[in-house]
Amino acid sequence: MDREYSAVQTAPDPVQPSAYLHDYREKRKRAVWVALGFLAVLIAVVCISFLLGRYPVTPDTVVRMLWYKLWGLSGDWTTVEETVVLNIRLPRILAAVAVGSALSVSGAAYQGIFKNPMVSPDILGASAGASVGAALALLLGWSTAMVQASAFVLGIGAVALAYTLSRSIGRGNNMVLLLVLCGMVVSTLFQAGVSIIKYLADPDSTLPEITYWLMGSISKVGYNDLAYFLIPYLIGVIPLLLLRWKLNVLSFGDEEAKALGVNTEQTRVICIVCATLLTAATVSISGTVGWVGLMIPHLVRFLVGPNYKAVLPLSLLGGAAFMLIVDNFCRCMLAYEIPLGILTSIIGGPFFVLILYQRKGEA
Amino acid sequence: MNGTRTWKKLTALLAATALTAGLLAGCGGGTGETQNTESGQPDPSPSQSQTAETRTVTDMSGVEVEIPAEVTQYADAWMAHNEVIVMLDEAEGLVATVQTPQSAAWMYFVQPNMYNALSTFGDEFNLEELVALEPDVVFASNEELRDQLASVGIPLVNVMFTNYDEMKQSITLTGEVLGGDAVQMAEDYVAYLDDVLAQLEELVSSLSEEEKPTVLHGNSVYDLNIDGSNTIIDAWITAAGGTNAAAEVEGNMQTVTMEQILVWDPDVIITGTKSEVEEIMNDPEWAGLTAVQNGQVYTNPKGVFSWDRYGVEEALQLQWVANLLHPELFNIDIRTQVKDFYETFLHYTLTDEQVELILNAEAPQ
Repeated sequence: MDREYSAVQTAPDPVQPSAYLHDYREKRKRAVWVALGFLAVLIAVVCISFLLGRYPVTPDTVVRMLWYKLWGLSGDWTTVEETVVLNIRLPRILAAVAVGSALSVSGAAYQGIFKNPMVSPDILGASAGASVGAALALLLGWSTAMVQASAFVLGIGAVALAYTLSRSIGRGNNMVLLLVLCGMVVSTLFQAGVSIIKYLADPDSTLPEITYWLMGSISKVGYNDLAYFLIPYLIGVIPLLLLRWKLNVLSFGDEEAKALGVNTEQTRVICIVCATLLTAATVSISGTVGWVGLMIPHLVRFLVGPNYKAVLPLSLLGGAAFMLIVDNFCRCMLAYEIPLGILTSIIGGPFFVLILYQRKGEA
Repeated sequence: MNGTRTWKKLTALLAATALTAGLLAGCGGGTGETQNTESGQPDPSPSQSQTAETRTVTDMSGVEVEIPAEVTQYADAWMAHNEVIVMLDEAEGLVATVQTPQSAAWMYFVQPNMYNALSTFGDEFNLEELVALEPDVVFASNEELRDQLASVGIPLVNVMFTNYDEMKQSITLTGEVLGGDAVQMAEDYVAYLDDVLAQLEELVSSLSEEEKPTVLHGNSVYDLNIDGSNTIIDAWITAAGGTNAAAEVEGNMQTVTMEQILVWDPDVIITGTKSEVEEIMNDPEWAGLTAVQNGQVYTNPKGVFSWDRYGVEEALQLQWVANLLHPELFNIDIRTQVKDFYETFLHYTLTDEQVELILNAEAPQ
């Protein structure tokens, strides 16, 4: 917090700093309130999610079960009820929270790295790479764990390829632009790869599987998947949260950032690695779920301004809550399971427009 | 997995890539003239159709189709209908098909004539290739190709069916189109199917609603992919004295939630994927289901075509399911029935081992 302030404090005009300071304090206060609001919403949605589902379990059974289980006691509910609450709803709630927060945080980070609010987590080809990995594994009839591993590896691989390409072409100038261009090329290539695999797939069995996977869903995420997901998730989220103030510095431009003593290239690489880890890990367990990584950071910026110190943690909370709400619709609305990617767009799109309308004239 | 077909496609794609590269390389070279040399095909004028006699049949979409008086060559664009062709004509006149030896191992095993037909690239015909093969008619399950084929003088006969009445109609229609012995064979099959349906109707009429077990069927139930109402699956479940557990969902191959399956709590589970029986039986999440507790989880048999989906072995499926759900009321030896059916309708004598393979949805050996 003090770093930005001290940078501003050196300004020559003695009136300006206090005005800045006032504005800054206002914004910070606001961010705290928004964070508390988001947290309250998230906790409320998590609680409600336990009660929602196609299988009827009474609220007091759910509460009793969770409470007793916490202390390792057994109760008078049926095994089916226990399966529903602890093995179907709970992992799914955790998965929605993890996926939503990971996508939002990586989206926000990418937007900071590239100084471009229109960037989404798949900008460097992570999603496209992961899609090829998963589609290929499905085509070859591999197990679920292998599908996830293959998606994860190729997701990382695609970004590494884009980065290496940009490094070998560029000579230090316009690195950001080159990186984005190389990311686009790699993305397009891998998307063509997905098309080839879909074309080769058996239209009666493998093709529907691939298509369904690409639409995104967390219906089959279990505790094992979550355990594996936790490692890249923590490795991705923690450094980003710790380094988030550097994203602010990056947004001044490379020269100013260097003048402030920030190693821009190093920061950028660390952020890219973390955000890519998050994206690839997410896509590998949930398929490609669009929109969230773009929309949630925007929503947060509307509320608290472009300060990444607030944007990153708020995106984490907001993304988790949003994804959980959407996934509840996916599993409860119909007897069918609705792919997550479809609903994030259908619910997210109009919601986003609504916010734009409300902020009309302000920002 | 379908290896050969996949490789064929891959080779073609590589060839296309190489061609692109070649074009790029030759861009400045002015080698355009060499490209036309390979197009020395026969004259593309439409063949005999103008001069030969024609007749008219009404197809399953209600369209009156003018077809040549004698149909000797044909193509089949519907996977399931290929089995009708194997039954009625031993696939003798089949010049092009959407089937492949990988997707229908038993079909090619039982009827090697299938190998004479060109398999398509993907599930659609290459129109030029199709025209070059000069089929008299093309069988299909939808209208997509009708206008295109009409423009090159090939009539399309829609043979789609979604229930048993339509199925009988469709098979009779196919017999009519092919003519000759096929007409009699179609009649025999319809009589056989009628007989099976009549037996089952008697059985079902004696059952109260409570005596009809709920059945959950899907191509891969463990992946939560199931079949709902308004499908041929719903039709055979009902006809064989069961209730479709997933009736509130409409259509084939729908994905549902695990919770929904727990709500339905079916008495019997039938999956199209063999390996899933063990997975379902051993997964603690599924352990609470009535079907799992009673060990009522089965693989759907698969022969020349999957029994559960639209082929002529529907007649066997009905008997297999009725026997499964009501063994004391519909007491038949399914193995004998399978052997007789293959002998009579699919022109092949199965060994006992082969019958077991089909009942277990395993590939021929």
